[in-house]
Amino acid sequence: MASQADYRDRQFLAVIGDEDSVTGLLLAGIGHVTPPPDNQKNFLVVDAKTDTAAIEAAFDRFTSERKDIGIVLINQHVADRIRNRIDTYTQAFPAVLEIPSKDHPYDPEKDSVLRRVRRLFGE
Amino acid sequence: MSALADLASTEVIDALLERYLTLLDEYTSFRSQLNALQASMYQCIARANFAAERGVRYYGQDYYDERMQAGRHVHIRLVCAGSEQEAKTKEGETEMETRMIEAAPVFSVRACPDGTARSTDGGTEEEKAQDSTPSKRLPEGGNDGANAAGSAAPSTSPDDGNIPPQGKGPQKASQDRVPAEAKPHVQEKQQETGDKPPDGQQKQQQQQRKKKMANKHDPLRWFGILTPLPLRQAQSHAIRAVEDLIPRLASISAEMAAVELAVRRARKKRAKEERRLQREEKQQQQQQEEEEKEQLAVQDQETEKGAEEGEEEKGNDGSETRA
Repeated sequence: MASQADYRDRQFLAVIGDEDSVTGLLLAGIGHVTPPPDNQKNFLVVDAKTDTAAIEAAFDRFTSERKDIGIVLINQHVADRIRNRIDTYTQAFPAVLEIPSKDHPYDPEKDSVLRRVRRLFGE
Repeated sequence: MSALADLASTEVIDALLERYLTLLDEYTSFRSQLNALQASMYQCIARANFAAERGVRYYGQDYYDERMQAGRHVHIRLVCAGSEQEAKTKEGETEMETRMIEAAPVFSVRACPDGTARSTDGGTEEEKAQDSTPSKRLPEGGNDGANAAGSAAPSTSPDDGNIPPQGKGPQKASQDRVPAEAKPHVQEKQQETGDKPPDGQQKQQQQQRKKKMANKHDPLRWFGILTPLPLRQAQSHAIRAVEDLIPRLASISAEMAAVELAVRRARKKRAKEERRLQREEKQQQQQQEEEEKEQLAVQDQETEKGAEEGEEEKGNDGSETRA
């Protein structure tokens, strides 16, 4: 829950998305690669050939393994591929935010926050 | 009595929902702003790519710096969601309601000059050390090739670069080398004249160095020295999105989650109370019914007794008359 004591160490943003989304966000200076032994990137470029398993692995790595990520940005159409994972994700940290991509405009129907809203009112 | 209790808890839930809807409104407006911003960012990247000669320069993952360091960091604070509200309203109810909302994290993203400076000192040393080894990872333009050649200058061996910058040697070396990153020919001159420039020049160079450090960490540099205008525009859009909208959306989403939790709890509490009240009412009713039954039974008994007595009396009367 919100009382996770380690939230202060969460200083990076992570991105999972198509090439243009990642390029744009990295231009803003959020890209980070950890020092040589592990060389962990905080982004994953997804294209049509990327396995869903790879996306899931990256999502797990950013949300559970790494303790230095504060916000995970994920393209909505990529999030759709691991929708179940996203919808059942309840940790306070890192925050997961769906962002639009170039070819797939933002669809409020799929946004996990708005789904939560509907659940609250419609149960 | 139950109606009163219901009213109080319903009011609390209503207040929570009101807050929730305000947050939702903010969320949707920031969402649409982010969408617009992202759209223009994608457009800019597309324009940059369109203007570039395809295949020669393409603004994508092939040119990412593999040793990139984050120049913008997330900061998280935990803030009690209702702290402002509490300040505004003194009523007991709102306090109760705000107390029910758990502390929600507030995200902010800031460029961290300190952090970058720290990491630049360490990082650039490393980077340069690696730069001076033949740069195969970043097949950049001719300029960068010249840089790599320049920084592989005889004054520093690649091993020097790995020593932390506290030592005098590497720092001096970095001073010498940094301008070289941008202007190879200047460095060549220096090497000809000697390693140490005069004091005034040194200061200037330090300033320059700082600038260059900043430049060095500018992701635009991955794509060469002369980056097209659309790409720079894309960068400014992205910075606005990352610094402003994304942390706000994340914070609002977190607060909404906290309010959701509070609403669920309040609803549960209300349901529990209702059930308890219903049970109590039932018990009361049952008690009343039982009492009534007892009373009825007593009355029945009394009437029966009365009737029996009456009959007895009647019987007595009859016997008397017969007698």
